[in-house]
Amino acid sequence: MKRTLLKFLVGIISLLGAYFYVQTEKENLTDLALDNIEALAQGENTNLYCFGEGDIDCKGIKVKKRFDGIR
Amino acid sequence: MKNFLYIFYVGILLVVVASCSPSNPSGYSRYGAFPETSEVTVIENALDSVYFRYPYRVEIGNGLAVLLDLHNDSHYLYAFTYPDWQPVASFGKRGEGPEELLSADRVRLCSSDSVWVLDANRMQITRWAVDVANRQVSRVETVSLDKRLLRTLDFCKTTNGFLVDDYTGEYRFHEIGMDGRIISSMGTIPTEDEEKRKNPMALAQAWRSFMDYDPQSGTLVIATQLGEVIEIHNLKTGFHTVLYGPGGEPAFSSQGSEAFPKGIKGYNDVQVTDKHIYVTFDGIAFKEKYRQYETGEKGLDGGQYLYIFNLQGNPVRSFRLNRSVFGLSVNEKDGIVTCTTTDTDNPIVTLNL
Repeated sequence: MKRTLLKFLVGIISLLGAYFYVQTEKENLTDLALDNIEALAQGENTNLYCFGEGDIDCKGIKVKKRFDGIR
Repeated sequence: MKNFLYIFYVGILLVVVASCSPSNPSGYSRYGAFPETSEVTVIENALDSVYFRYPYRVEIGNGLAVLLDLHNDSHYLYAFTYPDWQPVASFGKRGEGPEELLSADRVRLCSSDSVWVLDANRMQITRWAVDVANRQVSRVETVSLDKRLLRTLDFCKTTNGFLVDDYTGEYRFHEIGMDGRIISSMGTIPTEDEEKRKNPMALAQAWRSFMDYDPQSGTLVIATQLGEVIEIHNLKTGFHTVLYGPGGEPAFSSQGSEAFPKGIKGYNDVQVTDKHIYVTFDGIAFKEKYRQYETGEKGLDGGQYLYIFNLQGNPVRSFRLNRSVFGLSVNEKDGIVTCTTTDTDNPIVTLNL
C-alpha cells in the first residue's frame, strides 16, 4: 500500500512538473536586444518593455516587440 | 489498486490530449487552402525624390497617392500625383506642437481636399487638403475623439462620420459622428477562449486589428494583427461571419492590463471592395522574428502573402510575393495592387492580378 501511494505521488509530481515546465518557457534576450529597448513602463505590477522598430503598438510608439520581462 | 492507478493515469492522459487537440467551440468558419495560388514577382517603383524609412500605408485615388511613413525623420505623410508618382508635398510634421502629429496610424484618401489622418497618441482625426497646382497640403479640420474610446488605432470614413476600432475589450468597433462622439458601439471580440474575456483590456490589445469599409456594399472587414482571424460585418444586411485561418486567434500572455504577443504575426492591412476582400499577411512566428533580430539576421518586415476572399468569406486566390509588404491599395477595375515595402529602397511595389 505504501509503495502504491509512493507511485501515485511520483506520478502526480511528474505531471505537475511537466505542466509547469511548459508554462514557464520564457524568451531570452541578448545584449543586442537589450541595447535597443526603447521604452519601459512599470506600474501596477506590470513591466512593459518595447524595443526595435516595427508596427506593434507599445505605449505610444511602434516597435518590433513588446514583452513582459528580461531573463 | 494497480488497475485503479492505470485507469487514473490513462484518464489524466486523455484529458491532457483532449485539451491540446484543436477544437472549434464557437463554430466559426475555418479556411485552409486557396483554390488558386500563384508565385508573383512584383514590379518595383523607385521614388528617387523622397526617402522613406518605413513606408507603411498607401492610399490612391482621385489622381493622388499618399504614403504614410511610420518611422520618419520629419513628416509622417507624403502626397504624390498618380499614376506618375510626382512628389507634391510632405505633410503631418512629427512633433509636439499644436499643428504637429504625435503619431500617424492610418490615412484615408477620400478626395484631394479630404485626406483624413488618425493620430492615436493625440486621439484626433485631422483632415488635410492637397493643392497639387501649388504643391501645398494644408490642415483644415480636427476631430477630437471621444475619451471613452481610450485609444483608437484604426478608422474608416463613412458618409456621416467614422468607424473606429475598440480598445476597451467590451465591443469590437464603434460608429462615431463628425464631432468625434460615440454614436453606437457594436460587436464583441470573437475569441474562442472565454477565459480571456476576464481581462478585456489585454484581450483588446492582443486583438488589435486593421479595418476597412466599403460604403457601396456596406461591408466592414476587420483583420487581426496577431494570429489569423478575419471578421466580416455587412452593416446594411446584418450579415456577419468570422473566419479563422490556420494561424488561429491571436496568442498572447498578459500581465495586468497589458498583452504580450506570442504565436504569429498576422495580417498587415486589409481592403474591401464591393466584390472582394484583400489582405496582406505575414504568418511568421514572433519567436523566429526575435531570433533573427537577436542574431542580426536581416528578417523581413511585413508579409509575403496577399490573400483574396469574396464578401461571404470564401477563399478565392492567394499570392506569394517575392517581396515582403505592409500596406495595400487595390484598383480592382484595372487589376492592380499597390503595396508598401521596407525590403528595398523602393517603397512601392505593384502587382497585376
